[in-house]
Amino acid sequence: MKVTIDRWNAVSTWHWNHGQDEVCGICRVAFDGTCPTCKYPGDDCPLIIGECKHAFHMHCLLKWLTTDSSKGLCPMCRRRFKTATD
Amino acid sequence: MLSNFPSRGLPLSLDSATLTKSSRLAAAQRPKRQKQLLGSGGARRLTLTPSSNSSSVASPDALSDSYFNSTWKSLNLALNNVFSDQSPDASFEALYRGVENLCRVDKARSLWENLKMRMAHHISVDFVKNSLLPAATALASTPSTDNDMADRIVDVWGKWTAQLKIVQHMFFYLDRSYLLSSSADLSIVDTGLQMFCKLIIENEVIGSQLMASLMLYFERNRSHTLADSHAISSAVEMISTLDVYRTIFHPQFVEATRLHYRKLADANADSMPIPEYLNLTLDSLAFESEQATQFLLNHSTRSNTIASVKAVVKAEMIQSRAKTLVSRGFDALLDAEDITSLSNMYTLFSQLSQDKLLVAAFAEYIKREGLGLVIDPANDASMVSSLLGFKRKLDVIIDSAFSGDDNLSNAMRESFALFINKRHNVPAEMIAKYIDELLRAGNKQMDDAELEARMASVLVLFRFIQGKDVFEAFYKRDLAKRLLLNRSASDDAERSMLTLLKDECGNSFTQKLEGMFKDTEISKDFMASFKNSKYSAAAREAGIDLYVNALSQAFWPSYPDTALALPREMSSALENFEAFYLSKQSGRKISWRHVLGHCVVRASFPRGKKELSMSLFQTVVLLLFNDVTNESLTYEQIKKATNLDDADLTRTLQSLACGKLRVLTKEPRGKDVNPGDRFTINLKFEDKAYRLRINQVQLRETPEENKQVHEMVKRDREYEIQGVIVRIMKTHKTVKHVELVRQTIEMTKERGTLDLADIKKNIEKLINKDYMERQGADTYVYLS
Ligand SMILES: [Zn+2]
Ligand SMILES: [Zn+2]
Ligand SMILES: [Zn+2]
Repeated sequence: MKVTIDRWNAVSTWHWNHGQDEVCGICRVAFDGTCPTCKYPGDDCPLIIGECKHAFHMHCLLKWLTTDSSKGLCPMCRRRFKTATD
Repeated sequence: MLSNFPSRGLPLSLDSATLTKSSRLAAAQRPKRQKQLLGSGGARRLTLTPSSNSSSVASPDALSDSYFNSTWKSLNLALNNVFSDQSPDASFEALYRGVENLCRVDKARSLWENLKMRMAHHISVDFVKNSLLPAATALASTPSTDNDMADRIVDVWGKWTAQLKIVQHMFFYLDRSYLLSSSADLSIVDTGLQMFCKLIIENEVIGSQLMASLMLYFERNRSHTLADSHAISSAVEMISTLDVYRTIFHPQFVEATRLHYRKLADANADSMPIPEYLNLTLDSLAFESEQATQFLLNHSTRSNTIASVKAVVKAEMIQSRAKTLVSRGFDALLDAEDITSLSNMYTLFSQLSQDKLLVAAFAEYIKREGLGLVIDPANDASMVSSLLGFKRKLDVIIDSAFSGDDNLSNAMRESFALFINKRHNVPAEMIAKYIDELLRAGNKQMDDAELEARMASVLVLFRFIQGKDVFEAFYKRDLAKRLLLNRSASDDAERSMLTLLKDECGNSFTQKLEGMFKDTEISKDFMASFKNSKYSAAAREAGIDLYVNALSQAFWPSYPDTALALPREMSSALENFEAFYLSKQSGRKISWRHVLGHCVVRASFPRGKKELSMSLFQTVVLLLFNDVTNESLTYEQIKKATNLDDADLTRTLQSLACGKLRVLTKEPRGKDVNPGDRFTINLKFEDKAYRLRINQVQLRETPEENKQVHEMVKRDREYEIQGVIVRIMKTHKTVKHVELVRQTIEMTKERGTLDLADIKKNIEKLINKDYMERQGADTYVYLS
C-alpha cells in the first residue's frame, strides 16, 4: 500500500501582527476589517502604529489628525502622535 | 296611458306594427284575436262606409227622447250581438248613421254614458260574474297547482279586444267627433281597456289568481315542464298593454323568483358540493336572463326585470349563504386547485361585494397550511421545496382564478410573512441551504435559465423572512465551503445570486461576500508568483502541488484553529509558503484553517490504483498507513499521531471506515467509531471509477457547526439590539419602557425576530454598563 499526495488545497487567514481581535480606537471596527471608507482590508487599508504603541486604521488616524480638536495628538493617550519606526 | 294602443287613429289605418311587441316569439305566437282587434282581416272583418243616404234608423229630425231611445235600442241590440260574438242584425252602415245622428243632436254625452254602462255591464256580468269570479273564488279557497286563471283571462282578453274593436267601428263617429275633442274622456278603446283592467285585473280575487297562475307557469318553465308557453306570452302582452307590468307584474314576478331561489338555496346550500352549487347559480342566472328575454316583451321593462331577477338569484343563492359557502367549501377548492370553481366563486362574491370573506378565508388557509409546512422539525429538509410548491400553487390561483386581485395577493404576502416567522430562524437557515444546493456543483443538472428562475423564486420566499441575519450567517458559511472546496457550480450563477441578494440584504452583507470572491482571486494571483519562487521547492520536492487560499478574516466565517500534526514534508511546504507570504505582505501573520484543507491523493490498493479526493484530515490519517499493509492502528495511536480532537477524529475515521467507500476496515465492525477500535487498510477496496470523492464529510454541516452558527447569530443580534437601544436612548434621552421595546422591535425586525426577553436582558446589560439608568418604574434615562 502506497499513499502519495498529488495536490493540496490549503486554507489560511492572515492577520495584522498588531492587535489581532482588537478594534480600531477611532472607528471601532476590527483591525482585520477596514476603516469605514474602505472595502477591502490589507495593504489598501493598512494600520498605523504610534510610538505610544497605539494602533489605528491609517485612514482613520489621518482623518483624525486633520480635525482641529486633534492638535496632532494620539486620540487614545493624548501624546503627540508619531509613527513608530521599527 | 295605453300608449301602445293607438285608439285615436282611424280604425282601418291602424298599423299592426304599433301594437306588436318586438319579441320574435311573441310575434310568432300572436293570437288571431289580436289581429281582429287590429282590423287587419279575419272572419269578422267589417267595412266602414261613412256616408250613405239609405238608413233603417230614424231620421235626425225626430229629436226626442223616443228617438234617442229607439236608436239606442237598435245599437244596444247590436251590442248584445257583438258581446255574444254574433254579427249584428242591423247593417253596419245604419248603426254608424244612428250614432252620427245622435251625436249631431247633442246626444253624444248620453250615448257615451249608455255605451260605457253597457260595456261595464258586459265585463262585470259576462266575464266576471259568470265566468272568472267563480273560478277565481274557488281557486282562492282551494289553491291548486292546476290554476289556469291565466289561460282563462287571456281567453277573455282575446274576446274583449275583438269585441272592443267592433264597438269602436260602430261608434266611430262618437269616438272621432265627441270623445276626441273632450279632454275629460278617453277613447272607446282606451275606456274599454281601462274597464277591463279595473274590473278584472284589479279585482282582488281574480287578479291575485291570475298572478298565482302565471307564477305557476313560470315555475313550470323553470322545471322545464311547461307544455305551452302561449299563456305566458299572451298574459305578459296583456299586462303590458294594460300598463300594469311595472306596478303589478314586475314586483310579483321578482318576489316569486326570490322565493324560488330561496327554496333552491335552502335545499342545496348546506349539502351540495360547492363546485356544483356554483354552477347551479350560474346556470340559474343564465336561465332567468333567457326566460326574461323570451317572455317579457317591452325592452325597457325587460332589462329592468333581468337586472332584478339576476340580483335576486345572487342574493338568495350566494349573498345570504356566503359564510356557509366559504366555510363549507373554499378550503377544499384551494386544496384541489379547482380553478374553475374558485373563479366562479370569486366572480360571484366580488359582484356582491362579499370578496372580503374570501380574502379573510384565503389568509386563514395560507396561515394554517403554511404553518403546517414550517412548524415540524421533521420536515425541515423538505421545507423550502414545500414552500415553493405552495407559493407556486397560490400564485396560479391568484392569477387564474382571482384575476390577480390586489387584496388577495396582499393577503397572501401578509399571511406568508406571518406563518413563516412563527418558526424562528429555521426557515431562514433552510432557505440558505436550499440556495447552497442550487449553487453547488454536481447536485442537480439544470440549465442557466432554470437555475436563475429557481434562485428568483426562492428569493421571493426569503423576502418574507424577518431573520435575515440567520440567513446571512448560513449563506456565508455555505459560500465559503463552495469557494474553498472548489464546489461551486458556476461563477456566473454565484454572481447573479449576489446581485439578487444585494437588493434583499443590503450592501453591508454583499460587500462581505464580494470580499470573499476577491480573496480567492487575489490568492490565485499570489499562487502564480509563489510557484515561480524558490519557496515552492519544498512542496514540489515532496511531489505536492500546493495551492493556498489566503483569506481576510473579516469576510469569512470564523473557523477553529486545529492543532493538526502534519508529516514533516507537508509542514515544511506550508512553512515555505508562509515565509514567502510574509516576505510579500509585511506586518502580517498567518493562521492555518486545516479543517478546510483538502487533497487529491493517489493510493495503490491491492485491487487497483485510485485517485481520491479527500479532506486534509482524511489524508493525514490515510498517510499513517503508508507502507503498512497488514498492520492495524488503534484509535488511540491515530489520535496521538494526528493530534486531532475526538470529534474531528471520530468523524474522519467514520468517513473512511463506515461510509459508502471504505478505504479502511474497522475492528469491531459497526457504524460507530469508539476508543479502542482498530483500523487497517481495506485490502479488498475496489470501485469501477478511478477518481473517487470521499471528502463529502467536509461539505456536510456538523451539528456543532450548526449550533455555532446559531450562537454566533445570537451574539451578533445582542450587539445589534444594544446598538439600537443606545441609538433610541440617544435620540429621546428619556423613554418609557413600552416605547423603547416597541421601537427596538420595529428597528430590528428585518434582521431577526426578537423575543421580549432578549430586549429586556439587553436593557439590563446596558444599565449595568452605565449607558442608561432607570427613572421610576417604567422609564429609562440616557447617560451620555
Ligand atoms: Zn478605524
Ligand atoms: Zn481605509
Ligand atoms: Zn497613544
